[in-house]
Amino acid sequence: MKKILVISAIATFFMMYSCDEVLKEDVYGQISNEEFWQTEADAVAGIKSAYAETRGGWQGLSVWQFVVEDLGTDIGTGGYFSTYDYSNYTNWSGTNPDFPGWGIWPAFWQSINYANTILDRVPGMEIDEAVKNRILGEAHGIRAMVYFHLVNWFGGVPEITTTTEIPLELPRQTVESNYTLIEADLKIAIDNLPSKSELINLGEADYGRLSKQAVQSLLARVYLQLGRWSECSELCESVINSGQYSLETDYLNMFSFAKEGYNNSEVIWVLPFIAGSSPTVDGLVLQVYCYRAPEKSDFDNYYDWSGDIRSTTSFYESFESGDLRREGLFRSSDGTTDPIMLLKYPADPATDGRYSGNDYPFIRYADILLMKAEALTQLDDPENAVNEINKVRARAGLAGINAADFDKESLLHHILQERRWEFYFEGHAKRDMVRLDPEGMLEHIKAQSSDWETYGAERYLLLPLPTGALAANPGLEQNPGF
Amino acid sequence: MKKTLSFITFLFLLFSAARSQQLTVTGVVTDEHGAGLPGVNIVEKGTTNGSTTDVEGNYSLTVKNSSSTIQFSFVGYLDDEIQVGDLTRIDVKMVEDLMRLDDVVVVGYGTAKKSDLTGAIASVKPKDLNASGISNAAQMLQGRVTGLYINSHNQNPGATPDFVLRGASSFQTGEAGQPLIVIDGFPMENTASINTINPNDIEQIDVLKDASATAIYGSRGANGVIIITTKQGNQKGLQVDYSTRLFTQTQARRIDVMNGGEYARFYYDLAHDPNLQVGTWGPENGYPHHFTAWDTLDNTDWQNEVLNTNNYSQEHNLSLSGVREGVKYRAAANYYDAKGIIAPTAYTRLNALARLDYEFRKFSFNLDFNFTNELKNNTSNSYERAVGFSPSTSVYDANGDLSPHAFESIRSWFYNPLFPGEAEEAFQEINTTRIAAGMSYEILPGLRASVKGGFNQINEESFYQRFEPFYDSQTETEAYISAYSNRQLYGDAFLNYTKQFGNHKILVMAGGTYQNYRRRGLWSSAMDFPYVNLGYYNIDAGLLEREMGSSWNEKRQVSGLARINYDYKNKYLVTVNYRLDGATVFGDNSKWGHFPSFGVAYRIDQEDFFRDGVPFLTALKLKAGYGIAGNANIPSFRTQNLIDFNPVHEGNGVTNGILWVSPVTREGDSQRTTYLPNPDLHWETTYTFNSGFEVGNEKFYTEINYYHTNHDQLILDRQVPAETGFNYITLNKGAMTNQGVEAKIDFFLDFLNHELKWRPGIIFSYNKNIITDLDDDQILGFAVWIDRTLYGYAGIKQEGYPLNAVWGYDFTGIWQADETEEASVYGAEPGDPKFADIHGIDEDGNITEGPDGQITEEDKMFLGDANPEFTAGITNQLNYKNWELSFFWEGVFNKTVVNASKATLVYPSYNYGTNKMRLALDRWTATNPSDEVPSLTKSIPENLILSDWVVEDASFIRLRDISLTYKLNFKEDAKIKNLHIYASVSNLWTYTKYTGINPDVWGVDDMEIDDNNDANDDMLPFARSYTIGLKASF
Repeated sequence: MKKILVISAIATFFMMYSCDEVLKEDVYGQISNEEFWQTEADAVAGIKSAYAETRGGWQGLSVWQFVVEDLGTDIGTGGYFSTYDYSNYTNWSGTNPDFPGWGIWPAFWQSINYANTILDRVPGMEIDEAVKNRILGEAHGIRAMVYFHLVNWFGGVPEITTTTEIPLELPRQTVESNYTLIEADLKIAIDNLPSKSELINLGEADYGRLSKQAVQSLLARVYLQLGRWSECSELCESVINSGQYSLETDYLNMFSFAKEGYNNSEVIWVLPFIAGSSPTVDGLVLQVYCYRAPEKSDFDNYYDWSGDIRSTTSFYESFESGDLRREGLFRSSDGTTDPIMLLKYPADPATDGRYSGNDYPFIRYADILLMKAEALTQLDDPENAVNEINKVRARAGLAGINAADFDKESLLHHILQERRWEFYFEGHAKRDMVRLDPEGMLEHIKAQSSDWETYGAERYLLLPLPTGALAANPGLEQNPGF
Repeated sequence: MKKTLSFITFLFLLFSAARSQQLTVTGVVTDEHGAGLPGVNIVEKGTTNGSTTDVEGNYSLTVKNSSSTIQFSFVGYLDDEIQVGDLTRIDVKMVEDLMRLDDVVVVGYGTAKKSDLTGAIASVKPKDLNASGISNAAQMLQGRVTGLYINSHNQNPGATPDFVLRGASSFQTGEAGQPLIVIDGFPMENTASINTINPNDIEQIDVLKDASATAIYGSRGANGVIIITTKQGNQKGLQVDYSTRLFTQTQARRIDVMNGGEYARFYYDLAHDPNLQVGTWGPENGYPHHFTAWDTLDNTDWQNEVLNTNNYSQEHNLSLSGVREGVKYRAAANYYDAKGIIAPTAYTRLNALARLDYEFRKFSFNLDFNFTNELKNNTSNSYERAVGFSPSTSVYDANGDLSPHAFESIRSWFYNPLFPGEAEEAFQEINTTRIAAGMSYEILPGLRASVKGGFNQINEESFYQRFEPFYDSQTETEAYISAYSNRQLYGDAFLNYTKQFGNHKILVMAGGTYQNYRRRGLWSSAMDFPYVNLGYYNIDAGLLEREMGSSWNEKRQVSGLARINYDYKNKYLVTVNYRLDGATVFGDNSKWGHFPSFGVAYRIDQEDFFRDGVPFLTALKLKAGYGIAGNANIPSFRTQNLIDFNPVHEGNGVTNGILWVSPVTREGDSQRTTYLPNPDLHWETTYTFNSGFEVGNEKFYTEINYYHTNHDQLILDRQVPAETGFNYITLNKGAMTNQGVEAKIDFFLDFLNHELKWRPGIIFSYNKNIITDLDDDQILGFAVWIDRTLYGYAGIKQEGYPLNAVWGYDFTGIWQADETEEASVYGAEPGDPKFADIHGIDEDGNITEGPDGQITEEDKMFLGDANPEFTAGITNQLNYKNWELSFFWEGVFNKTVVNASKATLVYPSYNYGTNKMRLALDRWTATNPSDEVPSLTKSIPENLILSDWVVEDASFIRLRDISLTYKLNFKEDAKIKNLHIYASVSNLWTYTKYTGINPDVWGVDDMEIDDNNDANDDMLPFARSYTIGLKASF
């Protein structure tokens, strides 16, 4: 009896002693966030993942750029297939569109979380200072870019700049405050990022990462949006003066596979995609919508959704005659109201349209020229403005315009047209239209909407905040009218 | 006679006085009808001096003196005690133990007599029920255990049951709110394991309800414990049992949809309605078809077409049981082949079991082996599709192929409901092997040591392939395979000590347990297979979307536990439990939990004053208990801040990438639900007070319990703003109470000189659930999704309301033509739904009374609780000669359901072109001023789907089972000992006001089953089944 008691006592003691080990939760296939951030490779893996998160397939910047911006104007239409339904958005009527809820909102905030994680974790790492500063600069740049889209599409949003101690009620901040954050982020990025030439020397693996010129261009875009014309113009000037960019000679060829990578002199920042279907190598989703025209054998094998998103007859007919840029569109003979198919991004022979490898040009040199032109026009310098416009027109095979033929208003209107012709399906359209022709934007909404009289056309200038987001964060308030 | 007796007594008295007070008592022991009982044990109390009755029930026993007490005991009869006093002849009429007070109840790591229990434990013995229509253990408990509600919305054969024991116990959904299942002492990882036990092998099921009973299971006891004990080997000789049944099902409820003509007319009228604002439909876009005549259209009843034509199911059981050279053995095999009501849903189960028990000197050994093979056909069952498919489409076209949708050509994903049966194959095979062994040794008299160990290995393999696309834009063939291996290890060691001294009896049990659970999985998928015969047979032949993955996850738990039972004179009973638990899933700062409990009982029926004073009652017991149990059922990694790895592409290649979506359990699901890590996560604690009484006699037995449970530090997934980059955080928060009363009354009524026996039993349970504290927070529940659109949350969890409260707007009718002005205040037009504008909100954010011209969150009102308030069951068993008739009524009351499918089955904007309920024909138009159905010319208004237009009371009463059995008993030496033949019907009759397909759904009814266990997502219609069967013993 005694023996047994002794043995059980020892056994119990041993059990309790070893329990700490037994009760430690083992992690297989993952690693603790605390242990991860050690080497330079870890920091690099982090920033590359932040890039991937930002561009990512169905949820990243590329797909929502063209859905929100291009389908938001008469440049694009359609988009009804299976469960991806943009018709509530393009019709501007009825039930709120669902894609902000399942697409934009969670993915964009996750991107911000990625950037914030890097900004929290990387500063304390003992790694090469130059590498560290570059990665931090990139994180600031990515965060600014995502906030820029959020504030443009939804109005003022909460500002989250850290991953620790986040309160569970996050009120919306003003648009001005959001822009202050964006501007500060981009300025840090500009100070810490390599110029294009330095980036090229870092090798092909860094293709798609931000350069100093890329963030300067982003900041120019921000200033243009804010009406800070001279600062915009100055930044455009410094990108131009870097001497590292020029217009490609052939507009359409610019989007070809042959012109992907550093031998494209015009692209300032690109969302690079690789053909494939695995979730890790997400392709350019836009391609899935390209038309499988009987007349265009390239697209013969294309997926059935092809042609679901189209351009419109009115946009197609708005081009000046002889404009080479219109070759990116194709008027089919299928007898529908808007038989205008998108051929700007060539078919990727490796895929059926889904997950194509086409790169998505986010900022091009032509944008710098036209942004500068717009800023100069606003600063009452039409001569120099027209000068920049004509560079873009020349490449499109069009004769130059004359400053004398325009007053300030009509020149701005022409710049809007030029931007539409130049950048269709590159994710600029609605932002440009709201900035340069707000009345025209409202007219477009009224033409499409069956309920604008009830709710007001103005409500459609912003996207509604998703139901789920409002429910999860009591600090959010819905946009007016929704 | 009396005279003679007194004379004899007188003589005996004289005689005994002369013989130094030793007494010999004789008598006859009879049953309640006067027939002699052979083999009754007769013992002089407190001694080993005893005897038994002979064939006629006569006995004789010599006792010390007149103060001796004689105890009479016999299996199935109540014990009796008589003090000898002056008597020398004691005739005893024993009372049958209809109340089963002497039955053995499994209390967790031990057993007790029912009469000695201090906690709330219900026992069900299959041999007492007419278990004719039963295919899993849960069905044996349904409607028979007070406080337990098992909903049957998932009618897939082989589905895992969904238990609610004494109200909602956890904020977490799924397994975390489910009771612990213990099979022969082996605690299972989840409730699905209930399918791995053949109901025919079950000796009894004990349901531990209150914390004074469940605390012995510590951190897994908070939701109650269901202990299943299998049959042991027969004590006598070899016995062979065979039973079989055949059954078929019919659809007990249908959705009332339009016929071909109504359907075509409905869409024709709608398309020509000038107010139509749904998408781009309308005559100018080719909608609808130009029907020339409404009555010559095809009229296909799709709900009928998808019914399983080969709907015959069967079950066979064979068991051998006996004892040989001291080894008690039992082996059994079960084959169950069930067809779902909708083709091709099917489930087969093959189960084999062996059990050996052996006692040798001071040792005892036992060995359990159980193997189960389950095969589930997971092909889409198409019922929901059938409800909506156009009735004007014939089943087959002129070529004999399945017809496409006659009405919709562009949106071709409205494919023929019979198509999945031709185009895809999906099944899951689960093999479960459980082996356990135990031994014990009697160290000293009264002191016993035991060890037990075992493992449970569950291998789940799933296969899916599609040969043809379901709709045009789905071009490729597709295949998916996965294999998950779950291994559970269990070990325990205990010391048991029993000691009786005088009137005191003490039982002490102490020991420890170890549990280890490991789950690992592999999966792969691919698309575009060049030949039909590749698919899941050869998945690497797929050309596109080739994906793969693996996962690995382990949990462990260690515990120490002890129990003391103290019994004074069989009258006062005390039980004290204590358990210490540690688990890996909890945060570093709170790895250990303590779970004490105690219970007391007072058996008034053992008091002399009661026996003398209340002769008409034979049993009366009062009991009370208090205990603490926990809930540790949370997924792994919620406390850890982890990084996952996934390649990303860089410039032109692929590189290492990381995802900080963690903590995440890596499974095949690509849904990235992300959780903010919470290192402080700890146990959810449940404090239960339970009190009750039992009272009965030979005519009735009743047990009534009152309980009050406080759930504290609840584990819940709180939504976090998506702006943080995460979706949820798992944390401990708030408190909740469940209060309730449970009553059970059994009657034992005999008529016609005991030839007709009637045994009605009534159970009744009432539960009130309230969240008492949530730090003024609100947690959302009952998300209403239609396709990808979240229409909002019908559930708001907040203080002062039930956990599963349903909230919504008050639908007050339809805006009529003469109310245009009022309607416009709310942005509505005539024909739109109208809602009560109860509250507003002022500039400071305060809620104001009265209308404010807007329908906002503040206008939502509490519409009910998704859990039933009352449940009741009435069992009836009538025996007359060889016949037995039993029927079982079940009632579920005050249960609220969000019938979201009502909106999708009425509104054409949802899947425009699909068939709708006849209710839609009553839609509001200028000439039909309906007050029930809106104009339907717009999309489904979000407010409508969150209003009492769709929220319904789903109370119901049903005749769950009725069966008639003819029993033939043969002589002991006959080749067949007995033979039972029966026929039964389940769900013969149901009464409910609920308009959905099955009133027994829970929460949001979107005609889909939301538990993650079944790939087969569509709900099956409510079924009625007809069974015939026989049982024979050899």
